[in-house]
Amino acid sequence: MNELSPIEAFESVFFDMVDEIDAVSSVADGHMLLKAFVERYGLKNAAYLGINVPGLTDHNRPYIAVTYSDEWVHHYCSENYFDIDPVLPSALRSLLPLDWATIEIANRKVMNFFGEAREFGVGRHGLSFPIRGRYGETALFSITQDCTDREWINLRKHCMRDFQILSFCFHELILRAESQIFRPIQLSRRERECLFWAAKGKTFGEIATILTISERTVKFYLDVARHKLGAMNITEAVAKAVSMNILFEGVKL
Amino acid sequence: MIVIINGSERDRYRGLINDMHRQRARVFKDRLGWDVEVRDGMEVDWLDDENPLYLISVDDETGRLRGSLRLLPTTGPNMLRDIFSELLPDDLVVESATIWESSRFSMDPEAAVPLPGRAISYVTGELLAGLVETGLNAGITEIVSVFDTRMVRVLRMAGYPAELIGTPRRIGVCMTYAGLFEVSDAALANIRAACGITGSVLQPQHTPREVAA
Repeated sequence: MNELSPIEAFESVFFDMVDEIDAVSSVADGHMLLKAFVERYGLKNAAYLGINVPGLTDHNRPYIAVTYSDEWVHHYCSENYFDIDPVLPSALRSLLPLDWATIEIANRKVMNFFGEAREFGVGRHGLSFPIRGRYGETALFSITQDCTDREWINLRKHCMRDFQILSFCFHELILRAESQIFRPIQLSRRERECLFWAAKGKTFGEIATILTISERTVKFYLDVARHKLGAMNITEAVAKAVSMNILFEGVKL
Repeated sequence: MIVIINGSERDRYRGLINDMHRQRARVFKDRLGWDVEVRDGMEVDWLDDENPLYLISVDDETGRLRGSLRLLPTTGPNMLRDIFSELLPDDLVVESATIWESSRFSMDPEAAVPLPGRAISYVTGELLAGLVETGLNAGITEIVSVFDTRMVRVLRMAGYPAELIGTPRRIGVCMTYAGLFEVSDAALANIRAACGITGSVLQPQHTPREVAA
């Protein structure tokens, strides 16, 4: 990481991650980003688990996106470890991040579970962030590390805020990518401005001049707006935006 | 000392939790005359079912409850979003993974007596210091809260003034405000200085077991 201090290095990693997660809305890209997240923070694994996410999970099947080995995921599911894994009941009802080392080992099954997790390379240390969403859904975002106890404490000290925010960003990405629920469509100011002038019959070039941005940027905003509105072309996008009453919000003329 | 109780630990602390609900009934219903529901002498609302995090101040020697507050994430159900949204302008939504909401700040009237030579009681300071410490440990950057005029003064004297957001409104018997509070080392130092607190107020955690290599 050359001349950057570890904290500064994490800082640029953090902002890059937030940007990249925000730009993605497919599951495949999300999974790549989960791997990138693990790599850039020097972690062993990361795991997202969603419970009762509307339109996405049914009663007994949580939604899972993990970087664990396929063997571990398969083993976990086939042994139905959802019922044994002590992290789940604890963290899903918590507000505080849960360090796996503070979990009481209640019985032999739990002890074996942690032993197997270790053998399958889950990671020595684990930390789970509970997520509560606006639709009443709950989720967990967990990170694991193989470092020494001291390094682990350091990571916790410096990256807690980053992990809180990124946990929620990943949750929103999953909602965007997977869920059927209706999200209100929000156009940015620029997107609305471009659509507005397009509705007035202006060409890309004319809009660019009016808004003093490049023609390519105009095309970009219109593409994004068209995508958000699920429209085939600009005309349809304008019609949809008008019918949803979101075209004229805050457009400065 | 501040005891932290997660939703998952509620059964283990059943007695303390019930004492808290009884105290909340005495404070909010009997003393302050708020429009809250009390059953069997306990004040409980629907947000108590949403697995909040409770910070409870207990007497170090007797273990008796002195005061408490309740924390909820602003990303899920909370008071400002679901009950007091009229305090905020339409386009302002407080929803962040690093902002918690604090509510139901309550204290035994006896414990509310100011310390000699100070403007503020120890328990107020302990709860606020515990709040900031807990937030810092969890990566939280701000606390949002809805409170009345009485609390505005208490918070200022405790070295933890609010940054008001939105428009205050009269709700029921009191003028009601929404405010943001910083969670930082500096804020913690201010509260400690104003309330005569040295060092951590949190109950010592059972140390995480050594993770064998």
